[in-house]
Amino acid sequence: MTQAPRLGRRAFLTRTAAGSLAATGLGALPQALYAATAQPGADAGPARKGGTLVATWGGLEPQALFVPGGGGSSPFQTSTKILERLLKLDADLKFQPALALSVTPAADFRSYTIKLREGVTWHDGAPFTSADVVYNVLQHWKPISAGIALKSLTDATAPDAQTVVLTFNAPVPEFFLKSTLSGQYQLLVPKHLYDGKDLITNPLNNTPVGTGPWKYGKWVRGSHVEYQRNDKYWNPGEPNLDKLVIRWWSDPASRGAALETGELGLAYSNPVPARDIDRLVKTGKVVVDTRGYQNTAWTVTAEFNQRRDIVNRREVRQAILHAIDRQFIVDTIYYGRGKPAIAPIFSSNPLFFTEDVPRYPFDPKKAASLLDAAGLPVKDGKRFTVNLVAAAWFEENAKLGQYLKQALEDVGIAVKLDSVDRATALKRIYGDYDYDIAVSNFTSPLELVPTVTQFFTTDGIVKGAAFRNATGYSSPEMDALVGKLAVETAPDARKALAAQFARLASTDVPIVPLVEIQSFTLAGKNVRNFTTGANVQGETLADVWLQA
Amino acid sequence: MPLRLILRRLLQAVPLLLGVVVLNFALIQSVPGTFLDVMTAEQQVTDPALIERLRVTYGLDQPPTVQLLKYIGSVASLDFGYSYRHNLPVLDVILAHLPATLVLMLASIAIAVLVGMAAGIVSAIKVNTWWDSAVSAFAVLCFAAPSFWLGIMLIILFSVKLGWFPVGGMVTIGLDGGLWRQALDVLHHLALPAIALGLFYSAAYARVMRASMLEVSRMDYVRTAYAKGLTRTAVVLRHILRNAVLPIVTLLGLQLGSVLGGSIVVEAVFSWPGIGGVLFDSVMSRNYPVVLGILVLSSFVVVLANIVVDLLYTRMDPRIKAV
Amino acid sequence: MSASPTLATLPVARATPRPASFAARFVRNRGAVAGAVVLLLIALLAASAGWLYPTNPLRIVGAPEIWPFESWRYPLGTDSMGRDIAALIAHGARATLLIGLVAAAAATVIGVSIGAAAAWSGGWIDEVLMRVTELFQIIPNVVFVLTVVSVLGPHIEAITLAVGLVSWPPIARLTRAEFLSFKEREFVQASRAVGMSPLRIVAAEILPNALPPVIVMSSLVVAGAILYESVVSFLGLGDPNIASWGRLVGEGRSLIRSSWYICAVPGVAIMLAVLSLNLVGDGLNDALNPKLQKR
Repeated sequence: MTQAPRLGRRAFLTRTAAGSLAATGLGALPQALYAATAQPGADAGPARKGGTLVATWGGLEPQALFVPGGGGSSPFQTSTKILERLLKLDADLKFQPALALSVTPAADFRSYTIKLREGVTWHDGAPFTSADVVYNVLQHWKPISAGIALKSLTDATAPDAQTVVLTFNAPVPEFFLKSTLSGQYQLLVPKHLYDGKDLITNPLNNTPVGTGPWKYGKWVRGSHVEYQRNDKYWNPGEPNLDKLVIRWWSDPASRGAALETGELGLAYSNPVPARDIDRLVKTGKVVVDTRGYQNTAWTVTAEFNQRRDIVNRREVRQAILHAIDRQFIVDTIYYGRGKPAIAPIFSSNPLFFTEDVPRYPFDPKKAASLLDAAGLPVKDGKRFTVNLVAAAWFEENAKLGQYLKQALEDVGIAVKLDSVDRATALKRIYGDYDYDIAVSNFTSPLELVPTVTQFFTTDGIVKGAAFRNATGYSSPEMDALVGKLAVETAPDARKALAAQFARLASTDVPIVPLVEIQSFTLAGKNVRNFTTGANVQGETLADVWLQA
Repeated sequence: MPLRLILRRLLQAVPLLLGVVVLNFALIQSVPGTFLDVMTAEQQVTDPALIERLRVTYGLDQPPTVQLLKYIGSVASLDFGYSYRHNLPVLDVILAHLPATLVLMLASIAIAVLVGMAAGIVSAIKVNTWWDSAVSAFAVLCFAAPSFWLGIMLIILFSVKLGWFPVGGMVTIGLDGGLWRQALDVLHHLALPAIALGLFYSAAYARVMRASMLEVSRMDYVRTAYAKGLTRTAVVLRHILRNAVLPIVTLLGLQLGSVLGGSIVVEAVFSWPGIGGVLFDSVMSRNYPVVLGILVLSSFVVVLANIVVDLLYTRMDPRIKAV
Repeated sequence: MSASPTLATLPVARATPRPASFAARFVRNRGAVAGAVVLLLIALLAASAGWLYPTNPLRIVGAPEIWPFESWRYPLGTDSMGRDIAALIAHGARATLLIGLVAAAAATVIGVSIGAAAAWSGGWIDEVLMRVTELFQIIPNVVFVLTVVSVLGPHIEAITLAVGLVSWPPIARLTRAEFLSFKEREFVQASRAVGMSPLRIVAAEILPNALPPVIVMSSLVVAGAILYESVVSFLGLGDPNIASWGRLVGEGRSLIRSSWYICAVPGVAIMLAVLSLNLVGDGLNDALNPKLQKR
């Protein structure tokens, strides 16, 4: 690895000592090629071919490489290298063609014509055609992975091998449909291998066959999965690398150490505690990048169970919100990596964000007086007791539970805190609805419907399904508003409706995003082009390359 | 005749294993939420018909006693069920991860025995000197330090600061080369976790070895050897060591279950791809086929180890008759 | 994490006269004395925690991650959320000792009962009880504790129960062995001949003689319990409402590289507690076995 101009001697020596990088002393090569680039990981010259990349994310190994119903971020990372989608939302928030060259709405927005890319083959050699797309739309997406989004879909037909027509029984906004087609769970699986079998339990989910730049190689459970280069990928020349390895560490400290030693090259989605980022970047071996998460903005929420007395009163909820110092949460629990959220639409969403919403600034005195006014004075040392259930699948949630306990106790509310593991959390919060206040999370794409709106609509109440409307909040006004939002096709009108939605959500406050959590990626200094999408965990990594 | 002894002990083990299965089955049944709840929640499966179909598929619609009997029956034919979470039969899941854990356990036990024996011998030979006290202090410290803490400290010192050892995992990904090279690579990764796990147990071996050697050195035949004019070294090597080793063997067998438990924690710290991680994940996700499978199999291994230790003991000490 | 099963001792011809009393014998062992002192200090800390640090130690009181000795207000620094580590250590001493003592007490009660019953009854009762003991010994302890805690929830009661459940088998075995050796002794047979009720014999004659080694083992069980609790907390199943040392280690785990003192300090505390318990246990064992001598 050559020496960039601003590397000090010590850093240079450390690198050579680590021995994890290629030969040094390449004085002959032009400095311009290796000039310190402003954007970490951005394109710096022609892509170099070859090499192996070891990638990971901030969580654990998935249960299968491809999980049709979703399964979370882990299978999302593993499946999107092999299976592809019709469109891709890039880092500039524009839709790029992937397997679809164009998606065009009809004049009444009740049907869309999709033109497919030609010359695409599955890894087993069979051609990719419109029949595959129709199969996926009707047998995979609508019943399993995108039931709510495709609620108004009535049919999918294939007039010819490169064209698919989707018909709906209501107008569908263009951004909404394109967002769905490029969405996290709209992957395409080969019809000829899946048709007639149960999608969810198909063993092929462990050795997927797709159209992507990577082919399944070998999965060593408990350790890593190896992907081979697809030499017949539809984009000639890609992928740039020879081999891709996705590996998992159960311990964040090990991930950081692996980045330092070069064992790990690319880590998405908060792989190390935020505390360690500065230290890792200072070593000169690692870069940090916070771009590429616009379409998956994470938040931590406080959810109030509408079925329980006291917290089902709006004035009580609003009072409680005044007792919470969101900035403190950002600074202490998230180490400054984030900002206080003011509404279910986040500041990272340029299409729909609005600041014109009711606010609840941190003011414990006001909280206390509001509670008094609500007829809940302090008696025998407390006003009332709540059961706070913190889903401890993130360490931060457990800490937030402890902070909330203290914050509420400071205004006279007694709190019984339960910090529960994933299985118990899913059962108590989304199955049994056994809580007064819950701490949970969700991630939001730019398109609000249905991912964000389902937390506020009556049809989002689905007992047993995780990350839906678990509070039981039901308001005819909200339902009508969301109904209009779903079918309004004019972008400006849609934006206005979204602002109304944000205002209503922030007034009734059944589920309150407290913090816009900033996600970040860490990569080795020689990795290029790892942030070209708006949800980088799902990048195909076809265009990633390694600087020598 | 050892064969009859082996068979008899194996037969004695059967009700024991049965007890393990029943106990753990009962335990898992009382856990709130089944793996199906987790699965349906995560995969957004809410269609009641589909859920019912899945319940039937995974046999959850039967009353617990029926499920238990069916499970016992299938275990007898070495079918431990299917793990939805891994999309594989449970036995395959376990076998895929078992070698890594066995390697770690064996290495840890080797380190524990070797370090412990060495420490015990040194402190016995130099009994009552400061060597003795120092070794005893070291031994007790190893016993007192939590192994996960020790592991983390080792990582910081030897992996990060010094860079002598890798941070975690069992292999370097993408390492080509012959079997020898791969074996060395594994050993390289094995060093720190095995030390973290092994040091804890070395304390017991050190203590036992020391006491045992002191006891043996009082024996008449040792005095006779001295009287015959043999040097101290010769006496130690030829007489004392051989007989002092017996309690070590007993201890070995007794600690196998404990080492397995310890490896769970160490595997977490070092991201070692063994059963420990699978077990922890399965307990958390209520994947009881895997939990039961691991518990039954590990219990069986412990029982086997005890039998082997008994046999070895009768071999090594002719004074003890095989009962 | 088994307690050392053999503290082998042996007879020796003595040059010096043998100390007569138990206390004197105990004091001769320097390690045991040191251990006892440390233990006493920890107990004192636990007892006075409420007086030294009257507010809830889980309260956030300062800036997060202040290093030890940086600020006189927080001599041991603050943790990731800004809580006073010294307060957490003091209150944690209470929780840690409590868990250890209660778990050991439970294990002792169960173990002694089962061991005594097995030894006294003999026959098939003995056989069955021993099989049950073996059953609990076979299941890897950490696994069992984890399973029980996830069944019952991450509460201090569940953790204590789980630890108690895995700790009783060695006590049962030891009790049974002791009972068996005393059962055939003359004074017991004499009592039986006289017609004393079995319960009276057990309580008045056998137990006082059989208990000492059991007590020694219990001290090791306390140490084991402390270690188990720290493992459970480390793996994330600790009780969030209680300040325990193990929990502090668990929380400091992700900060091991920048603020490793958060793990180190409670880790050292655990080590000291376990160490002192072991030393005291050794000392008790040596002192209680006057005929046998370590050297």
